[in-house]
Amino acid sequence: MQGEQQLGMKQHIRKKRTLPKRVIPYLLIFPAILFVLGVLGYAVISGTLLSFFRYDLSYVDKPFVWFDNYIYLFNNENFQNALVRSLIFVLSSVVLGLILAMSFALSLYKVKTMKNTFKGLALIPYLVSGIATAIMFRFMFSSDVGLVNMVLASFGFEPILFLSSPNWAVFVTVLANVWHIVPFSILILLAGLQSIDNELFQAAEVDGANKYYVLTKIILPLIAPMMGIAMIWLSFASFNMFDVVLPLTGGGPNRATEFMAVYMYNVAFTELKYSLGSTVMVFILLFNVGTSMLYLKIFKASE
Amino acid sequence: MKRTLKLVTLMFLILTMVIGCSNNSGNAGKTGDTGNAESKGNAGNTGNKENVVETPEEVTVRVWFGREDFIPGDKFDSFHKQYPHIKVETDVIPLEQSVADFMRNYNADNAPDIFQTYHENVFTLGNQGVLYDMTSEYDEWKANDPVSYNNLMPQAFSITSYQGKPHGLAIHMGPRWNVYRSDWFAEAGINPPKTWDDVLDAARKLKDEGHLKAGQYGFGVVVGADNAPNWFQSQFQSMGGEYTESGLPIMDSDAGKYLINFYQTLMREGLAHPETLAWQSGEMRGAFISGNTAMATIGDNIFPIINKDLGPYGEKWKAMEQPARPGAEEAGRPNASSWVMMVSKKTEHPDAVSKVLQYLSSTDIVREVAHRYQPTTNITVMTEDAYFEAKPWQAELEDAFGRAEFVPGHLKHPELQRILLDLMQEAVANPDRPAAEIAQKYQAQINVLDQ
Repeated sequence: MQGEQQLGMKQHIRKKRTLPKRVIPYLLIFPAILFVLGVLGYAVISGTLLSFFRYDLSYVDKPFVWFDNYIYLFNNENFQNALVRSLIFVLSSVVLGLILAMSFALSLYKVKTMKNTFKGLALIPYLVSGIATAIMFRFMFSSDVGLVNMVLASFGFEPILFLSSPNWAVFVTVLANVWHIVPFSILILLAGLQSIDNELFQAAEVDGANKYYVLTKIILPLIAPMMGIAMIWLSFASFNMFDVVLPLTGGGPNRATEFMAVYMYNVAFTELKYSLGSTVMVFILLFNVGTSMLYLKIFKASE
Repeated sequence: MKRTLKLVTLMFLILTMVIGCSNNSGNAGKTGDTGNAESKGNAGNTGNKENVVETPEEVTVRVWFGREDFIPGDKFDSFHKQYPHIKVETDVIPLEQSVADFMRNYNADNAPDIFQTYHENVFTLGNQGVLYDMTSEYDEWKANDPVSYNNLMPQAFSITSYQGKPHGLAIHMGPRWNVYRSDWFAEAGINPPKTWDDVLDAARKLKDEGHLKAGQYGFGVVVGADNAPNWFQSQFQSMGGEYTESGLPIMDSDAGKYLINFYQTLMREGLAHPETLAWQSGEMRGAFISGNTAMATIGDNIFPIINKDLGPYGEKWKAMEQPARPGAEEAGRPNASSWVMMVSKKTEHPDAVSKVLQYLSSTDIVREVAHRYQPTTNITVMTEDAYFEAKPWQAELEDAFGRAEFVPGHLKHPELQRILLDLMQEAVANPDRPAAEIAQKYQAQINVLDQ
């Protein structure tokens, strides 16, 4: 009995000693959490609450309307158009972005001399502002003086009206978006590649494995978690993309490139329907959370 | 998992409480009315010359201009000398963002005292109750300085009025004219167009007879998705387009269908640039200035640039009142817009605000802006010889300027703009679709705005 009491005392003392140690990490991370919640949390919660009211500058009162804004949106032709086009835009950007990011990451992995210089160069598009990217692509794809049409003309092709044709405009926005956001994915995938034990490659080489086999059986399975993160980044950045699309196409022609973030901007700040804009914000948030969870689940399973 | 959920729920609740409390405290802290009353008294004293011996209260008036060009050349230097106790701080918030930015700052008790916006937004802002009624300040102005007060056109006050009371001042108003390449017209033997049919005929002739090189087009229009349909509305007015009593354009009308058909014809016959659907206002203006478009609808404020870049007025280019719709010559009206200076209801210094507005509209100050940028509601400036020298086209357009009509405002003006933009885009993207069908489709959407 006494022995049990002594043991209990010892455990209590150990607990007391280890408690501060266990608390320290939480204390250290607390300012960061506070900062994120203060900046983002406030906006998200405030926006979510706003989505249940009718705050529209056409009306004086701001009544609580339950889910009316959500019901209105899902029955709205323009929202449906923005949703479908956003999904096409995100899917195209993720597929193209992942292929390009993987190719560049593998190339950078193989580079032996001036590796850091090339890494820095690969990051430049990400450091260029979205508006600058948009203006660059607008010039590149303009029908009169655009570089792309000049090249096409030199091969005898008729100029393509990239920015005034709905499908071509989507294509150009996907390219501009991918150019802008892919560099960060390259870094993520490169980090994954560099974490693979080199002995695995050597063993594969000894066993006579070809490059395709190395890629599909060693590289891809081992960097699957990183691919998940890269995909989260690509889809999240694409779904939220605004600063490239607005100056590039303004959401046109005929709302062809009015993706979700641009639609949210137009509803909230052009039509001055703040609650409806907040409702779109909630939808974008839920979409991003859902997609991220899905990716993480898939890649965790494959891991 | 359960602990994480509990933690997240707890944080959510804490944040909700924080937001709730901050809103309450914000409201509790709002002393706008008291502040207005107190400061109004103080500011009133500063305006009274008999009391100048007493040290006037130092006040700061924040002004948002919609474009940098509207800021007077002396940047308030003479104002600060005259009123050393009033400090004016300026910022440039684009007209397109003015309402959204103002409302956000207004709700955060950080709104400027004066801000510039499109005149069409007065209804929306007035309806929200965020504008200051300047009636008593203007009565005082009229009593103290009737010369400068009466030197402004009546529209300077009326266009900023909501429920019959002025809430700001329209210092500048600008019409949109039809510009054309007079040298090309002379070369092709074309007379200046009198109707919009003449515009199409002129564009056809220039194109068909080889007067235009590759990359040059007959007429330039702005249809891009990121534009306000201001040019479109000005053309609608010139075609005799009518508005409902509430201020909505009647597109399903002869004028509306004619306008839609005009845009469709431009695209169908290759008379406008094929990428018009993606054009922004800068591209349309640039096309005319760089010699790639023979005609366009352009605002008076751009003329000084054209005069500088394309050559002196009358040599290569000329301006005229926008043509009329054939058969509706009497119904056509020249169009004008105003970029009004509105006063925030939360201003604590209405008297100082009134003085700032008087300074901005005073002849010496507004003359400099009007000569290089937008015309003004200041009668002296608009009628003196110096203006006609600075803007040589004014002599020919003076009469039309006097008849210019503002686009009516509507409570749901922002939504209306989106509908008209969609209409323009659909017309240009589908040049073969019957204009009546397009007019009918969008009229139904416009009608909803009155419900």
